[in-house]
This record gives sequence, structure tokens and C-alpha cells, in this order.
Amino acid sequence: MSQHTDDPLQNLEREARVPPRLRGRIMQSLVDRGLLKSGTPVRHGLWLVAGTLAAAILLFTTGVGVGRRTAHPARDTRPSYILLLYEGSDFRLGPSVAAAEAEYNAWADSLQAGGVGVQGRALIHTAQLLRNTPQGVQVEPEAMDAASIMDGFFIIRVTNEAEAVAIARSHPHLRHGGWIVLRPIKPVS
Amino acid sequence: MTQDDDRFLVDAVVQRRDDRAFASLYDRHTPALYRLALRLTGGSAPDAEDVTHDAWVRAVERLDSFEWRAALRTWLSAFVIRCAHEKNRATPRAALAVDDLAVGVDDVALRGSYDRLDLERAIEGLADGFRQVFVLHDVQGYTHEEIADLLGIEPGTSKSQLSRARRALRRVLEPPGASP
Repeated sequence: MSQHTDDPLQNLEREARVPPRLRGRIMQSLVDRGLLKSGTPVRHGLWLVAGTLAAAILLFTTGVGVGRRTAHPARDTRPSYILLLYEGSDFRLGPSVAAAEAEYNAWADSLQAGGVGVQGRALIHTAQLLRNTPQGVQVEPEAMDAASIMDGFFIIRVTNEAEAVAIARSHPHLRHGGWIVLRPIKPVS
Repeated sequence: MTQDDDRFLVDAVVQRRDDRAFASLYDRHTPALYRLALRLTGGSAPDAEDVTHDAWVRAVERLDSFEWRAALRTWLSAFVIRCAHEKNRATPRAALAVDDLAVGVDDVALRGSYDRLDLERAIEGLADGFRQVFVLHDVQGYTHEEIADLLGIEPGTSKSQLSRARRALRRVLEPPGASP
């Protein structure tokens, strides 16, 4: 397509926002027609960041795989930490989805090889907000800005928080401009 | 994101009916498709939502037959155009008169400080075919060759319709004797 600059018509182009409910409506229609699988819940939601988002969803297949490969993490008594991976405002995937998948896989594999317990899961990029109101519990699409988009999480078992921070610092998500929130998981008593 | 990423995602939708892959395609292309739908339906948000919905459903139904001879966005836009045309036929509006003769030395893109609402209303007032070409070319940036492919018309027809649409809009937006 050709490019136009400094044009009042471009303002029209930029100002139209996609209704948040549309995504869920379309996905539900596709599920109803058998065009998308119905095994995972299709929920209404809004993801405002296009482009980088697409690949971000996919690269977390890595995380799922890692989780399956982890052997009996419940028997491990070391402290657990969760790495919550957000896109933040500057997330850039890189050259390709395949390259990112390989990168995330390599990160998890290297941890496992070093004796760190790892589990990871991807999150589907839709969400619903439930809140109690005088009219009862309201369920509505959750509108998220770029900074609040979470792609998934990893749980690691390490010896202490310093090691957890060091591991989190090595995650490729940071190199892609994403954010990681590291939180300790309360031990089971 | 590249065309290769689109292929990766499309394959996942076609072969595995992967909802996450579809969500990624949706996030990547819907803003542009919705804007196109909004302009083609005369600025009606409910109509644009319906058009975008119907276009995606039809496109996914035929996704396995997409041959990648054009960009995926262009292929998807064709569904939006078709659905918008059907929507507009079902809810016709009074159309702005457009000159029969595509002549005029002032055949340049609209520029200047037009009021946004005036501009939107003027675009809404164009007849369907003229609005399609104007929106695709002057708002969305498609070339006449791409528009010709999308609408099934000759590039020359696209050019002449654009010329007429611009002149009609100018007549509405600019007082006699004024220049932008």
C-alpha cells in the first residue's frame, strides 16, 4: 500500500477504535461453526496491542512444554517463585515466532539442566472481569492496556530469592522489552 | 510481524482450529479491517461491527483456499468490502450526487483543515462505489491496482471514481471559490 503523510484523512483512520466485545463475538461465532476448537474457553476480552502480541501468544507453547517435562515438582521443598511475564509498553518479539520459541525453550532447558525446577503455562489473550455490584455479580470484558497484558508465567524452584532474581534477569522476555514481575509463592504448610 | 508469521498463524487455524492463533490474527488485522468497515458503512459503528464480524467468519470459512497471491490483509479486506456492500444495500442512504464526467484539473487528494465531522459526513454521503474507492485509496492507502483487484474493476475505473468522489467531497466541504 502506498503511504500518505500529514493528511486529515489519516486522522479518520486513526480515530476508529475496535469495540472490545467484537473479538469474543467473532471467536464465539467461529467456535459455533466448528471453525475453531471449543476445547479452550473463548472469552470476551480486549487486547489493544496488535502485531507483537500475535507471536507472544505462540511462543508460550514453550512454557507449556516445559511444564509437562518437569518431574514431580511437588516433591521439591525448595522455595518457589513465580515469574509473571507482561508485555509492558515496549515489547518486541524479534525476527520470528520460531526464533522466539527456540529462545524460550533454550532458556527453560538450560535451567532444567542446571537443576532448577521449572513449570510454565501460557495465558490466552482474553479476559473477563467479575465484580460484585448492588445488582449482583457483573461479568464483562476486561479491557487491558498494553502494560497489563500478561502472556503467561513460569514457576521456578530455587534456593533463595537472590537466585530467583538472577534467573529472572536471564529470561529472554526482558531482552524483547517485556516486563517480569517476580513474586514468592507462599509455601504449603 | 511478517507475511511468514501470517502463514504460521493461518496454518494453525486451518490445520488445528487453533483459537490462540486466530486471536493473534484477529489482533493483528482487525483494527485496519474495522476502520475500513466503519468508513464503508458511512461511519455506523454497529454496522461496522456486523460487517467485521461477518467478514471474519466468511474469511475463516475459506481460509484453507487462500493461495497467498496477495497479502492476507488485502484478501481479508475484500471480505469486508463485500459484506459492507451487502449491508449498504440492505440499508440504503441518500447518496451525494457525483459528477458523471471525471474531468477537472484539481484532482488531488483532499488536504487541509477540514472539520472531522464534516469530512465524515461528506464521506458517508458518497454513493457506495465511490465511497469504496475513496476510502481504500485516500484513507487506507491502497493503490489503484490493489483496489482494482479488491473490487474486480479496472485500475482506470478506480482512478476515475476517485476523481469524481474527490470532486464531490470538495463541493460539499469547500465554499465556492475557496481552496484548501
